[in-house]
Amino acid sequence: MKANIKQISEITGFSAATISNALNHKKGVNAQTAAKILQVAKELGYISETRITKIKFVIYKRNGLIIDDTPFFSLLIDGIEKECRESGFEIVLGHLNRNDADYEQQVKRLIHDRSAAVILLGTELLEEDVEIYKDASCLFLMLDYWCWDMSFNGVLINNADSARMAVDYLIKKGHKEIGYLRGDFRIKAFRSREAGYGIALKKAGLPAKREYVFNLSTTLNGARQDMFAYLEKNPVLPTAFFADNDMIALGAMKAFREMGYRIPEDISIIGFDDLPFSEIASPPLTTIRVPNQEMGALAVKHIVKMIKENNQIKTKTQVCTNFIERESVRDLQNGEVGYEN
Amino acid sequence: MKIKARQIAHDLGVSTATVSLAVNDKPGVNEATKRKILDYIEQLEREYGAKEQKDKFVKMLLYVGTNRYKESMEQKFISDTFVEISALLQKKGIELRMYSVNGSDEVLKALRESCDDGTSGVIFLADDLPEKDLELLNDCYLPLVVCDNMLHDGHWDAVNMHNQRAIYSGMRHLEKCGCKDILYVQNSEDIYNFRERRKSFRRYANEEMKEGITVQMIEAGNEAVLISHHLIGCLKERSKFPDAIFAENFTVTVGVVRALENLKVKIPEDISVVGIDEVPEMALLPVELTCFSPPHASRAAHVVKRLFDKMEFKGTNAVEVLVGMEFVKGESVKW
Repeated sequence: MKANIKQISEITGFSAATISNALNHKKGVNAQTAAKILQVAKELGYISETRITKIKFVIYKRNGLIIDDTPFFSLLIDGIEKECRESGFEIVLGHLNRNDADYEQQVKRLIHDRSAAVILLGTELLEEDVEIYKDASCLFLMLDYWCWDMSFNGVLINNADSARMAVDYLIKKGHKEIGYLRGDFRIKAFRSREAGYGIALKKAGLPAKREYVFNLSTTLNGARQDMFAYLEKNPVLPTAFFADNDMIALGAMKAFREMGYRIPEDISIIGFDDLPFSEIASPPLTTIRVPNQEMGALAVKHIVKMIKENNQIKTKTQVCTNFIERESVRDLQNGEVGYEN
Repeated sequence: MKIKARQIAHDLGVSTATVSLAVNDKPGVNEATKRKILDYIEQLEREYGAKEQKDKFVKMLLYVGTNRYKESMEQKFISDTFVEISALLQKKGIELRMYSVNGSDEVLKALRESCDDGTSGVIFLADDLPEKDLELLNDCYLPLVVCDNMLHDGHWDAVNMHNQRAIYSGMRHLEKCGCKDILYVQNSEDIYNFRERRKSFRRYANEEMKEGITVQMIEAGNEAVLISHHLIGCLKERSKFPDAIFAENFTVTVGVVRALENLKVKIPEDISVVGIDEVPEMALLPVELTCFSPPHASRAAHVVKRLFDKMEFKGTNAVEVLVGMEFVKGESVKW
């Protein structure tokens, strides 16, 4: 005879209602009770691992300051959709807005629906937001975010090495005074880039000077205004800057131009992201290109493997980037713009 | 999904007959058992009610015919629309599944599958769908809302941007500002919205334009850099520069502005510029653009509203909703 709720009730000693609540992830069942019930239900074969046929791609929005203006997540969707189609999974789009009144309920519904695997775009997640996701009982993968306690499977950009590479390029071009255009909304990716910036300077024996770190808003106009305000105070400037991303770099470039600085003759700048208009900025911006479509596809490949192999081992996959050399860096060794060498 | 007596009997360890007696309020079953059965049914109903809602899904098909979609900014505009749509559906507890399709076979396959896999409705983003394939949509018997395309004898709903109004108001604005020689710069894509803009421009030139005004249309390519090169060539060949340029979309606008910068022509002192689409600020235009901004969010709301109407009242007449673009007055037109 197939197992039933009554049997589970006899074994665990909880009422049919409690069991039903636990199996359906309803409120009012304490975590230990729920875990025990789930375990017994599995042992008796009352619930089996549901066959997963769809993958949810969920965009997390904290304030939209990073993901609203940049086109990168649309490229991720493109990669995700194609890969899902190749491997025969439905792709479902969803999103979570931290400001919604029922945000927590929405998250719980999402992470306990075992009929689907979830890829969460965690670009805007801060450490304080992440706890709730650690309870996920569905197959779960974090995209563009990483948590040091290894509570998630992760696919993300190799931010630290990419930033280090960029700063190292500046050093090779003869720059010794290198500043950092620091986005004031400290998402995980920016923190890692800052670490890469620091390591590159340290390895080259160059000081990381506090006065060369400029805090700028993450929107283009915000970064422009903030940079403008700094420049009005006539600060001591380095010869080059590494920026947390292109948006910040482009905003700062605009402020520099308005204040009469020439790029790259007076100030060199490197960005991160390779936004669609960075190529036609004047001068064209030297930057780091992230293979977004491929990163989306990779996340799907990972989660499909998890679905098929029921593998319990978590992994962290870091995607390497391409350095895009254009015309926003001056070569101090022989006084030329890097691109023309 | 219906709740079956057999399942209740199975879950509670009683016979189906007992369940039946309890449900139908017949004697022969003790009060405690009856209460237990009725409570359990109520609970299942709540769960299934929620589940049924949760399992409801709508499909969004995106036709990807041209290389346009490889351009990330274009993708961004499209994804803004579908993120908005998914948010609205999510609020109602309806899932949004996404498919990209290319070619008539894939369109047919996707529509046929949707007709028997439990899909509640279909949203078709059809800007790139070739005109000849529009008829295929008549094969879909599900609630269907098409975005960015129109077939006059189609029996589905359409939600489109009001391209004609944008062209007409843009032209009237330029005329009012004293422009007498207007150049329309188009890109090389053959998609619905651009075809509509071109048609509207020609119609305006033929039917509405005041005397003494001349217009010209040129095709300049698809990428900003190419458009800029091409336009520089065209402008140099002319005996005199136009008073104003009407740019078909944001890529053209960026190309036009770059070309004029290159020729050291001042906007708006020497040439006025009006464009369709807001240009993302990261393009760092040297001037605030006067433009018509496509209504991504309100269009998404109209799409979802039409779809819900269709899902609730089957057999309503086909409706076309035209959503006006917002006129953004910048500083690129000389007064």
